[in-house]
Parts: sequence; C-alpha cells; structure tokens
Amino acid sequence: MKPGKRETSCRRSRATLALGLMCLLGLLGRDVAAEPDPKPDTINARVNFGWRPTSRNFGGTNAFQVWEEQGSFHSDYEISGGGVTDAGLEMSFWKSLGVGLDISSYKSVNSAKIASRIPHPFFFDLPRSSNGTALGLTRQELGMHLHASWTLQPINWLELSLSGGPSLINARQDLVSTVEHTETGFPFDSVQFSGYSTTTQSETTLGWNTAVDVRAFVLQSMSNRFLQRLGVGLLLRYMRGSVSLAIANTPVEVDLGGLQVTSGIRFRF
Amino acid sequence: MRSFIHLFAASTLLVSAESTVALAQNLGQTDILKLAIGSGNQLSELRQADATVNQLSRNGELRQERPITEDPRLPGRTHERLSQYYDGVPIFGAEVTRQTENGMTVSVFGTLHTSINLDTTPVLSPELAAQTIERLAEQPPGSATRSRLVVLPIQSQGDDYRLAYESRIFTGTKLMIYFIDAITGDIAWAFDDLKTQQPALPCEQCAIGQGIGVQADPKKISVTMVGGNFLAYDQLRPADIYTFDMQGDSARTMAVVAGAVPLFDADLATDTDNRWIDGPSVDAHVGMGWTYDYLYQRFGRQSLNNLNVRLIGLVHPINRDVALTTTPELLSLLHLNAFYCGLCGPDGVGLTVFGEGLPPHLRANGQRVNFLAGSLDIVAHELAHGVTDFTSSLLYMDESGALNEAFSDIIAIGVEHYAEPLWQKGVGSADYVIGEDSFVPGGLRSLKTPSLFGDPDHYSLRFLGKDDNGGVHTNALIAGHAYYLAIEGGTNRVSGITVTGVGPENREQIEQVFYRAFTLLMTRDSNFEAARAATIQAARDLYGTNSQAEQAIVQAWTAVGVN
Repeated sequence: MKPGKRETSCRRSRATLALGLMCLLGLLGRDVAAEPDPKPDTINARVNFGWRPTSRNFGGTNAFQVWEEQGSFHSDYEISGGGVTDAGLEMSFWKSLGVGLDISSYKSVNSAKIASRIPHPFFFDLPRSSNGTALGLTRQELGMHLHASWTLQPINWLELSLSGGPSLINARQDLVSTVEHTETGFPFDSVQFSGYSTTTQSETTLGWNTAVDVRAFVLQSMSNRFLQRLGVGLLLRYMRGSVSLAIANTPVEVDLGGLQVTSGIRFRF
Repeated sequence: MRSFIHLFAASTLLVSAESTVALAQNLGQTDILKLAIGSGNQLSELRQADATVNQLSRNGELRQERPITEDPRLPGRTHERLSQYYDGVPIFGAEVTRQTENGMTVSVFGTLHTSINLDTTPVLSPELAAQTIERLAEQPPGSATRSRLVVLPIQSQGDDYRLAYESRIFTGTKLMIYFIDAITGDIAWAFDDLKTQQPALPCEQCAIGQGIGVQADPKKISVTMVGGNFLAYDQLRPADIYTFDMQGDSARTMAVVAGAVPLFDADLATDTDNRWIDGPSVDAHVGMGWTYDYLYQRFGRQSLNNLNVRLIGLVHPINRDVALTTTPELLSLLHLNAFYCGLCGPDGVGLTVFGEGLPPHLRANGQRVNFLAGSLDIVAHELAHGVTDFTSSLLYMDESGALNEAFSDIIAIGVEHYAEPLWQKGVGSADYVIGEDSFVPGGLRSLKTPSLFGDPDHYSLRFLGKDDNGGVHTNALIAGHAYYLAIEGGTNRVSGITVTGVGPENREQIEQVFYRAFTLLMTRDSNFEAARAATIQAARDLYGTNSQAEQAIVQAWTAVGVN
C-alpha cells in the first residue's frame, strides 16, 4: 500500500479513537517496516500505577412506605476518576503477535445527591421534598484482561504493543439503601435530611479492553543483565463493561471502565 | 398620614370627662352607646370614642380583663378588649374593643351603658343564688358554676338594669346561663348557651394510621400507640386532640358532658391494627385535626383559645337503635345534633359531641341522618363556637347569637374550601351547604340559597320569635349569605341588589375579613349593624380603603338589607 493512500484513510477515520489508533499504527508500521520483529517467546512483565480520569453517572429510585403512603428517594451517583493499579504479562509467540493477561484494580470514593419525597403525616398526596448528599461511597472495579497483542519495535530500545480482548470485570459499589429524615414539627410542611445508610453490591460481568503499551528499555546496552531487561512504560487502556445493580429491587444498568492512564516498570525475559 | 396622627394625638388630650355623654349625643344615642367607629367614620367621632374609652379606663369603669394582643397580620397594631364596670360590678355584655396603630386609635367597637342608676349592694348571697339555680335546674348541689355578681341590662325594658348573679349549669341537655336577681332572688334572665349544629415525630408513641370515614373515604389519622393498641389521641399537633367513644351510653355521655364523670384512656376510641374502620371516630378525630390546621394555617390561630387548648370530641354518644324510644331531648341532642359546650368536659374547658344520627330506615324531615361527625363542615362549625367563646363571646341569643352561628358556618365553609384542593382525599366536595354529608339529601343550611331551607336571605325577613334563642340558626343565614355574596357575587333574591364578589380565587380575603371582625373587633352583644361596620373596618385594615374586598363587603351587607 502506498503512503498517500494511508494518509487519506487516516483523515477519513480520525473521528473515532479506535480507528485513529489504527492509523497511528499504520503510519508507524510504514516507518518501522524494516525494523526487526521482537524475538518470539519473549515475556514482558509490567507493573503500573496511574489514574482513571473517566467520570460516570448513574441513578436510581428507592421507594418505601411511610405515613401510610409511598415515599421515595432518588440517588444520583457521580463516579469520579480514581487510582488504578495494573499488573500483567505479555508473551509473544509468533513474529509480532502475542497474548497476555493483565489484572487491574480501580478504586474511587464518591458521593451521591439524594432527593427525597416524604409523605405528609396528615394528608395524602402532599409530599414534602428534601435534599441531601451521601458521602464516602466507594466504587471498586477489579478487571482481568485477556488480550491478544501486536508488538512493534520502531527502534531498538522502544516497543509498542497494541492489544485487545475480553475483560472479566467485578464491580463493587456502595449504594444508599435507606435515608433518614427528621420531622420539623407542626405543621409538618418540611422535613430535614438527617442521615442515610448504605449497602455494598458486587456484580461481575464480561466486557472488553483495548490498550496501547509503550515500553522503553533504555538500559539494554548496559552490561548488567538485569538492567538490560528493565524498562519503563506507559499504558493506555480502555476497558468497558456494564453490570446491573439492584436499587430497590429495580435493576439499574451501571457502566464500568473507561480510559486508564498508567505507567510503571517493564521487565522482559 | 403623619399629620393626621399628630393632630389626632393632640386632640385626645383635650377631651373632657363628659365625653361619654357628648359622644352619645353625637351618635344620636342616649342610654346605650353602640360604638362601631372606624376609619369610615368622621375623625371627630373616632377622637371622641377614643377619649371616652380613655376617660372610662382612668375612672376604672373600663377594665382590661384580657392582655393586649399584637395584631396577627398587621405589624404595629394592637387590640385591647375592655369590660365596663358600674360601681365595681361588671355590666354584662358591656365591652369595647379598641384597635391601635403605634399608639393611635384606629377603631372602637362595642357597647357602653351611660345612665345606670343602681344600688350594687346585693341582698342575696352568691351561695344562695347558686342554690336557687341548682333548684331551678333540678341539679344536685355543686352543679352550678361559681356565681358572679353583674349588672344585667334588661333590653326588653329599655334602660332597666338589675343587679344579678350569673352562673352556668349543665342540665343534661342544656347549658343554661341563669341570672338571679341579687335583690329579690327571682330569675332575671336565662338562656341555653349550648351551641348546637341545627336548631419524627415529636413523641415516641405517636403513630399515623389509616382510617375509613363515614363516607368510606380513606384518611390518615394521628394516634398514639399504647401497649400494642392505638388510641385516638393526637399528639402531633400543638394542641392535643382526643376522640372518645362513648359506646352508645347516653347516661355516661351526659355525665361526662356535665363534668360529673371523668374520662379515661379506656374511653378513647381504639383500634388494634391502626386500620381504623369506625367512621365516626375517624371523621371526628381527623376533622378536629383539619380544623385545627385550617385555623393555624389560615389565621395563625393556635386552637380555640389561641393558646393550644386541647380538643375533645365524643362519638357514639347514644345507641342509634334507641332513636324511637328515647326522650325528645336526647333525640334532638344526641341523635340529630352536634354541639360544642364551652364549659363542659372533665376539665371544664369545652368539648364537642357528635350526634349518632338515625338508623338507616328512619328519616327526620324527610332526610336520612347519618353520623354527624361524617361532615367536615359540622365538625368545623362546632369547634368555631369555641373560637367565638374565646374571642367575641357573642351572646347566644337574638342577633348576636345569629352572628355566633354565622361565624361557625363561615369557618365551616372555609375549612371545606381550604381543604378540598389541598388535602384532597377524604375531604369531600367544598360547597356552601352545611351538613350535606350527614343530612341526606340536601343538608341543613345553604349560605348560597338560604331560602332552600326556609331561612331568611334578607334582614327584612329575619325571624323575630323566641324559639331557638331568637332564631340564631335561622337569622345566621343573613350574615352567611352576605359572606357568600362577598366571595362569589350575585344578586340578592329580595333586594335585587347585585354584588360583585372578590371571586373564589380571592376567597381568603373575605375569610380574613370576617375572622378579623369576629375575633378582634366585635363584642358580646354585637348586632348585624355592628357586624357590618366591623367587617368593613377589617377589610380596610387588611386590604385598604375602597379595596375590592371592602366594596364586596359593603355591597353584600347592603344586598341582604343590613345597613
């Protein structure tokens, strides 16, 4: 394929991140085509620490019986970015192709905005409203990412690995299960949000992941065999999945994952 | 306005001690001074009235028996209620209300007696007077309240006055007020003061249940849980509300009303699962609560006395099945009526009894009579009598009695209209008919069309007989119809005068006007003329001179022939 056609293809497809990555790989492939493939049977190990900037929202409504009538509260959860730890192995088995397994852990502490409708003690259909915030709600996602990879080596000390595959994701989410209100007294025109309690739900789902790992082994020319194999790397992983959490026995689809940016050490053997 | 106040203040200092007589002459009155002076009168009249009140207060002839109250709606305004004394003895029904703003008088209403000539040394002792009353009422010793020496104006005899002992006694079917001549020991006057319907949470034990009313309508009910049972005792409102189930025991009912027998927790209406199915208990209990809510939310009033006096309701006062065999008095009182008795109850501060109605196969005047507690307007009407007792104390006779009844009807209509859109379930439909949910078909009275029930819709048609304390339930419709016209507008059937009402969307204005006039401005013996003047003054106080409300009030009273 001629370079000009590759550039045209790139312009057409840069609207999407995935195709953009393909373009980048293609361009890199053009420049490095003459470079040698990584050695087969090489195993790359990596340990990363970083951040997941993606924010996600979900919400749900709980209903309950109070004052002889149905009351409710709606919780809006805003899942912010959080720290990510990632570790894995990747082994090339034929030319540039390889397989790998990574485990990543994400954790963030979040809040939820709670809007309640509390029935009036004396009258039907005259609910009072209140607002509050629940704090300290933890979201944890533990992902096991199986992936196939394609590794390029544009220059001698630099590797670039493109990978993708299925992810098994376990999500643990703190949910507001009950709210507490204080009656302000006669004429009971208002209530005060005074507390809440939480439960933790855990669900596992099958999702997918795609990643770019850039590895630099700048010490490979040194005489120490350990240092020769030691490198640093930057991993960009996008994983995605969703689970169904039960809020007041009503299933609520909750999105998992997002872009993870981590960096750490590499070791190949 | 500022110059007016200064001028007014200066002038009051110049009024002579003979101002009472001068004012009486100015008003064209001689022996009895009927004051209904407000912002619609000449400034000179207001000055003279104010000076008269001041002078009589200095002399000790006018005494303040209740503390001066701040106006609940108009900052800077205060209300005082003064009773007139003659030679140290209170004159029955003689009192004055004075409204001031920053020390300046705005209105003066009431009655003063200017030419009493009476020896105030009694021959009879208070004890002997009480014994006389108990003998007349055929009640045991100790039944009568403590006798109070008063000067009693005898209205039917012009300027005649008697020195008399006033005492109340409950006879079993009537709350009689007796006046025993303190010289001769004869009965000077007596009347029945029983106000009848027709002729998180703050406490741990509080609970909310659900009840089914007489009309099979669901209601929330505020109760108290004790030992796994639920009692009709509402502690969630600032005033405790109790509903007692007399279980058809009429003898015990009357003993409780008389204060001869105490009430116990065991007498409270009870339910085991907080799913209340006894309609009268549910409706009486809930209706009293809603009436409390209306008074509080609309007028800022805290219960009947504005000090959160507890409310007591009695249901099932008699067995329905004895309607054909009981006495006519009990049939009238405990089957066909509801009544508020201000001095009754275990602690003597009032209770309400809700009649049992008639068995389904019986009719009264062609109407089926269901439990009276089933009508929210009847519940509110009775409690409103308590408000009157604690404010104007409108004498339950003749025109003042008719106004007493009218005010209760007005509050009853107000509760229904306030409740219908706001509280919805269990309220029923708001209208201008009293008692339509219990007296089927039709109801008891119509403020919209009084003639439907044979009641007068014009002053010229007022009842002038002696029955029903001078037609208090009948003549009430003259004022009630004026209230209706002031809100809804329309043409009076008799006068043909058309009134432009404020409209249903502004009904609160007229409610506020009547409430203000009846609770702050009017006095014990106010008549229709005084009611007209007081409501006009109230409209000006609240909404300004020539406001839509004032015009509606003026037109309405004129339309019903009260000028």
